[in-house]
Amino acid sequence: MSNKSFSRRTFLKAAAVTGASLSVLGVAEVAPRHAEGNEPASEYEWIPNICTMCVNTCGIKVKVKKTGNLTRAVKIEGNPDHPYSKGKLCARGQAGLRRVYDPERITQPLIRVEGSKRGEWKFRPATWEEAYGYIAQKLQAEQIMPYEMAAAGGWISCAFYRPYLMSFAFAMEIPNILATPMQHCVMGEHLGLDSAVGTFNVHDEIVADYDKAKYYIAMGANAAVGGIATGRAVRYAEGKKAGSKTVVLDPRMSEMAAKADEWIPIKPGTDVAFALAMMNVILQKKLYDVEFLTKHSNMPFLVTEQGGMVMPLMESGGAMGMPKAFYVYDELSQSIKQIPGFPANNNLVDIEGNPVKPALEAPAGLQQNGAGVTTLFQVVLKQAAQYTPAWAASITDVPAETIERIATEFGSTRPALIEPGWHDARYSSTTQFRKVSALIQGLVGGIDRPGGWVFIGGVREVMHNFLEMMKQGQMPSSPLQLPGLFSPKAALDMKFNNPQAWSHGHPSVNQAWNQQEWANGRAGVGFNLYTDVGYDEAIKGELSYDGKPYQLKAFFLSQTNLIRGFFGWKEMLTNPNVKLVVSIEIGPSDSIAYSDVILPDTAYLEKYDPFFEVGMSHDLGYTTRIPVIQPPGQVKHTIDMFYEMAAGFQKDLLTPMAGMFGWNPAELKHEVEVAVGEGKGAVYGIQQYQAHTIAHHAHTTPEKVMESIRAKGLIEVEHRDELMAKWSMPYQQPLSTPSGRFEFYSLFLANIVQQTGIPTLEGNPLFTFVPNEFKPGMKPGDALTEKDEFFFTYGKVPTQSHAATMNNDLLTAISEKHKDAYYGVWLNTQRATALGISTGDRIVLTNTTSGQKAEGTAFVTEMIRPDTIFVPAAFGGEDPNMKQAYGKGTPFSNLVPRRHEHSVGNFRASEFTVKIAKA
Amino acid sequence: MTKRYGMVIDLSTCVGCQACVASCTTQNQTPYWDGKFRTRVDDIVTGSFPDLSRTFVSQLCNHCEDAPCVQVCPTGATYQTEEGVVLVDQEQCVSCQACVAACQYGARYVYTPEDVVQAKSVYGEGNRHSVAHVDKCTLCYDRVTGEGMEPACVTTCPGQARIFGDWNDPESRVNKALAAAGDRAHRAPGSAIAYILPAPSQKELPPPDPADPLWVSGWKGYVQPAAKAALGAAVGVLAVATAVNLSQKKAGEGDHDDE
Repeated sequence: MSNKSFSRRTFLKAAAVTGASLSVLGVAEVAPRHAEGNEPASEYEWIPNICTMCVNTCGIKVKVKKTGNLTRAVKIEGNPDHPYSKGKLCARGQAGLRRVYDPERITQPLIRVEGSKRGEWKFRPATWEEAYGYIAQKLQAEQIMPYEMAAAGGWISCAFYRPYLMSFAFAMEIPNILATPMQHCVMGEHLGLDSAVGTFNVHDEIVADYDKAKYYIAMGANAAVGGIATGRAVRYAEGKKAGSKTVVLDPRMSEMAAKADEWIPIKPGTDVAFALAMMNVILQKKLYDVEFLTKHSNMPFLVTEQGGMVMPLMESGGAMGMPKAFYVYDELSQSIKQIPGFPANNNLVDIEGNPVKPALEAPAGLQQNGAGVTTLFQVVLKQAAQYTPAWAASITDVPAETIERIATEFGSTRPALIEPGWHDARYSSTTQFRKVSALIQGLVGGIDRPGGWVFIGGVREVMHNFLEMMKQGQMPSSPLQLPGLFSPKAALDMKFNNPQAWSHGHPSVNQAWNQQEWANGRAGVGFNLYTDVGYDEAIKGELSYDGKPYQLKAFFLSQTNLIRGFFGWKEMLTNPNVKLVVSIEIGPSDSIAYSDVILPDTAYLEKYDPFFEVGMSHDLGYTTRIPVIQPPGQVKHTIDMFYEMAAGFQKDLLTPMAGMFGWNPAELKHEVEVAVGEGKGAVYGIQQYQAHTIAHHAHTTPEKVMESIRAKGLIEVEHRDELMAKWSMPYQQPLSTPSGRFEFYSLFLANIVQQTGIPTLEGNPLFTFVPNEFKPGMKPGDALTEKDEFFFTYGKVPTQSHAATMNNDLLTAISEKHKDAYYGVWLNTQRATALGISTGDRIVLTNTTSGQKAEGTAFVTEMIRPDTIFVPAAFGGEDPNMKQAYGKGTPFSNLVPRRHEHSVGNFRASEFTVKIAKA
Repeated sequence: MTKRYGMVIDLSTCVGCQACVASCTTQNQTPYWDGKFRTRVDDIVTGSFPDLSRTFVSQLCNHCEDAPCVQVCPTGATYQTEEGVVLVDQEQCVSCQACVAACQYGARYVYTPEDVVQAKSVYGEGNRHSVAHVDKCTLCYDRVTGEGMEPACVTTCPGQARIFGDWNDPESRVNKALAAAGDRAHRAPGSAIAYILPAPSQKELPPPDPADPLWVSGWKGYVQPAAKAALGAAVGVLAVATAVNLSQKKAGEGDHDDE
């Protein structure tokens, strides 16, 4: 599809025709017009790629201009063949050229100057040999053991290179993987929801059917659609054009709230109360989908209640350590029956294959083995009864009638959709809030059905392959072959939390820290994959494992902005106990100033890549990159750096990589060696190898695969409709929950609570209200009384979201046009007036609990609750090397203490109040 | 039948994401470093908490049927194509800015000699802007007529809020979209850009109607002294522009052999 396009010659032809016709009309005498386009002879081509300005991974096409020997990318457009973004692209994606051609890009290795301090930005240029040599020498001189190292990845790693970062860590025997950005983005906001539907990373595994929903409620997140996630915004707009109703709950009039039919300025951090009351109303008014609950959820399962704890009746010893059978009350035989566990996906047959009609409500006085039993549905009814709209009104500051009306409208409209969430606000209550959101979606049966939460193609396929393996009695060889939530759980149990899995006998710092916490009678963190807990203790020398100090001394940071996105890392990376910090980056960020060695990375338009699933698509397909332009200076691909560093330590990157994906190690090695020999880098060899595996999968040839990549940017395997017709979940395949059903009571969370002893408040397997503690002693529903005190909220604006967008001069220029709202601290007019603050005034924000401070500029507006301030989160650059980003907006992370909840270690980054004063 | 290119902007689905602004900038290689854009998204807030509305209003050149900027242009650099698209001939424009003053939409700005220099480093040699001139939205005329694509702002719009088409074709998307919008449709007479309002009552949201033709014809006499002064000032600009133009031509002499 790449086409030679418009050149000056064609334009002049068009202009001449226009001129002639104008003359005929007598409007004006126009010689061949020369309106625009004084360009020398050039050839143009459109080459597909994958946008990497944010995590949405939208499809793009890049217009390349070739003039003689010069090749330049001149325009980026959305790729119309991409099933997620459908040819659309946001401002950040459009500004990608300025990321690639950023004058401040790092194009050669840098080594921190002897005698300087981390953070001062004193670097000298170096060759790759010097840079690698410096790393090797440092590790050797300081005698740093593999378990004293950590590898951290940012969102680019999360979206594309996590398995390769893991391969590097495994090859090097590094048990500590940080961020990439699991706790922050994935687990921190998704675990509650994941536990009900079995996803691992819901924003990659479910894309809500915004276009087909008739009623849509967005809570807890602006960025999920409007802030902006292009593929979601495209669908949302289609739904709106078709007449869908939108309700947005947000303390401020966000982009999403601006589009709403109804905006509810809810009190910050109280969404969980609103959601619980919605559940209450839907249950009380019987607006739920009886068929879905009966057939495909664990609502009919029989449970006992002991000491306030709910326990489902079940038989152990099923596949993969999951329960073998559950119990229901069968209305046909009027007796208790056992129904099979995973991989069964419905409750309609008992373990002997006889038909069953499970009751949602068991008869009174039903007993099993002498104990009284009820259905889970009955427990849910009882538990939800306390969360009335009147109760929620006192907490949320939303009238009870409004809550009841919204819940009723939602419950009586099909299909209705509640936002699954992405880039959510961070509170102690987040896990339970998203869990309740999922349960509401389950109540109306909106799981994997048009207009509801629809799985992406890859999720169905992994489940299908897993079921096939089970049928043949095989065990997956790698966690990547496990569906949904089973995958990270296996990675934790088998690898990171397991000292035996490492030759040095150390589990991750996370797990060592957990054990230390448990030994001291504290809760630790329940689900601790790649979590930023224990790191500060390990750096300071306050962590021990097996009676010996467990210290962290070296960090490999791959495009992660720990200083901005996480909390406390300035102090941690400048601690003298840290002997080595290596950063892989494209351009300046607040974090890389804290490195000893900076290794320059290729940008997205400059590289070959492995194949990836076509991101966030309901279709099943694969995509990869071929270079659009030549890389500048001496930059290298991240994977090539991993390959070369591992080789430098006589380690083999490819064996763990092959194992992880289930690839043939010898064939992979061959392709990589050929590629390296030809000077194309290891990554080219990986792409060549995968072209074969994908060709096999798609029933075609490697040549055809690459042809499709060049023309369309992807190769399609199967479309949504075909996939939904054969692999819908849980209708034809089980969900990746331990029961295979939609779980109102999560066995996964129950297991974590049991294993780790985390508080059942935050990790409750059923659902519960979690009161956030905005400051010591403050209770839900309490109002702020001080003249200068506010609830703190933060979020994204459409032009800024990540380190990739931060130092972009085009995005900065656009943001400048909206600088009050984009850079400013949002303050309600009435409150600001009382404090004598006007738009543009410099103000100081002080965290009332921790005392941390940050500065900002006031944006005085009607668009926010009087008791709340809002800080756009992606600004606030503090490194003067970022010529665009430096000094704009508020470095919000400077306000946030290292303080987390216990289910996933979610930083409670919105859970405090601030005082405002003029600077 | 002659085409009349234009656009419908659906204010109910514009999410204020600024994609149109960024796409226009890179397509048309405009001087964003100077804060100049051919299109913009205004953020209109009315009311007071909690009874308020926020609307994102995309704005661009209106491509007026009877365009004041065309009428006031002393050199004839500003002209209208037969499809109603208002364009500027870069080489004929002397940057006198009479058109900038005449435009009530703020749709025009000067691509200064300094911008022309900067454009070379940002967009590369041989970009679209080789001389100083007054710059404005072209409805991506070359992209539409030469490449068969829609304008850059339309192609990229995630909210599908910008719809492009031919007003003279009843089957065109613009006519269909506007017809389907019922009483939310708003197209001022003589305007190539129409709006779909979020609600029928919100008529104050779109930019004002093209000015009364009387006002336009009266303009020349009324503002003539100012225009003359601007022309005087433009001599200096012209000199610089010519110098830049000449040096550009010299540097790029060999580049024109494809004619």
